[in-house]
Amino acid sequence: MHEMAVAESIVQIIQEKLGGLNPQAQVTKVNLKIGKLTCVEPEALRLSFQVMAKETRLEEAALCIDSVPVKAQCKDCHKHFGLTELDFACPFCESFRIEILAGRELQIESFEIE
Amino acid sequence: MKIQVLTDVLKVNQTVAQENQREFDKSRTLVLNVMSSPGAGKTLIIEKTLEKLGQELKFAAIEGDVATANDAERLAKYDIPVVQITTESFGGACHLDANMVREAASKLDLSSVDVLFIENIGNLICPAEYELGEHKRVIVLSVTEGEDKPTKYPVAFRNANVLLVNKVDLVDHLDLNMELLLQNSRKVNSNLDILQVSAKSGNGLDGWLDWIRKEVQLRKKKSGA
Repeated sequence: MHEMAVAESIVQIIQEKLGGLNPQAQVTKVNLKIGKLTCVEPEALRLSFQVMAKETRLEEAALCIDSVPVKAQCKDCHKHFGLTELDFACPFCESFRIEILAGRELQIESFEIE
Repeated sequence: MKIQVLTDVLKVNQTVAQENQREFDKSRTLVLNVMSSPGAGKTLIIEKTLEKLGQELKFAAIEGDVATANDAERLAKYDIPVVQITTESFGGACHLDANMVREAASKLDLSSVDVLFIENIGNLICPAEYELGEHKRVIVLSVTEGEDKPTKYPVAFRNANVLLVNKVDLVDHLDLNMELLLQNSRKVNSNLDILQVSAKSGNGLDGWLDWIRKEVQLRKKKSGA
């Protein structure tokens, strides 16, 4: 359950960004990108965020999570493909030598204030 | 109003991890982040390593647990500096992070230490996301856990450098398909060094000790020693 630590970081990072903005502004929405190849469970993160955001300007904010599929490239045949089963093999030449291009994201894209 | 952020949530941790690594490089210390499920045998493997290489290399250890100092006490018998981190005080966190390691490392004099073991909390999920400043990641998987752990916990295995398949002395008592276990491991991470060991009987430990010797040499070279 490191979602609690992840939620704490999200609240901290946005609070820093709020520093220079209208002190009355409340955060209404936080847009996140979370790769399928991270160990973050969206529902656990939502719950943790509710706890961590209490009594801050993020208290009413909705978490909008954009789930990023895993994309990879084969180092042998150089073809690009998506990984759904996480079996880490190239579907074209069956090589295990693949590079992950997307799916490891754990990023705050933006937030919205009112 | 929409405000762009484009910041990695774990950026603060990564920054501290990089600072940790710079400190470790100053003292030319090889730092190994050891991960596994609870009970896979991390502590016994470290104990056996200290027993066999203690005359040859200087060791230190940071022990991560949710509660108790049992593991630190086990290692302290080998007369090496050990710092215990219990994450109870961090809300029972299920992983070590770079800040905890920075604080623990500040209590150690690493100047003459060749190898620092960081024994992470027994868990194959959360620790995988947190860099600590280590040079290499070691995963211990015991044969009693079955063949499919690498494919069930791909993030941990994908980011590891060496896999120690432990408790191989039990293989005869299990319905284990070792070939499948090795295949699953290579599938998730084709660069993984895989060693079969039994910390208890000592079988296969020589390969692991050689791996450490080789990495220590590489580290000294890279730091210009």
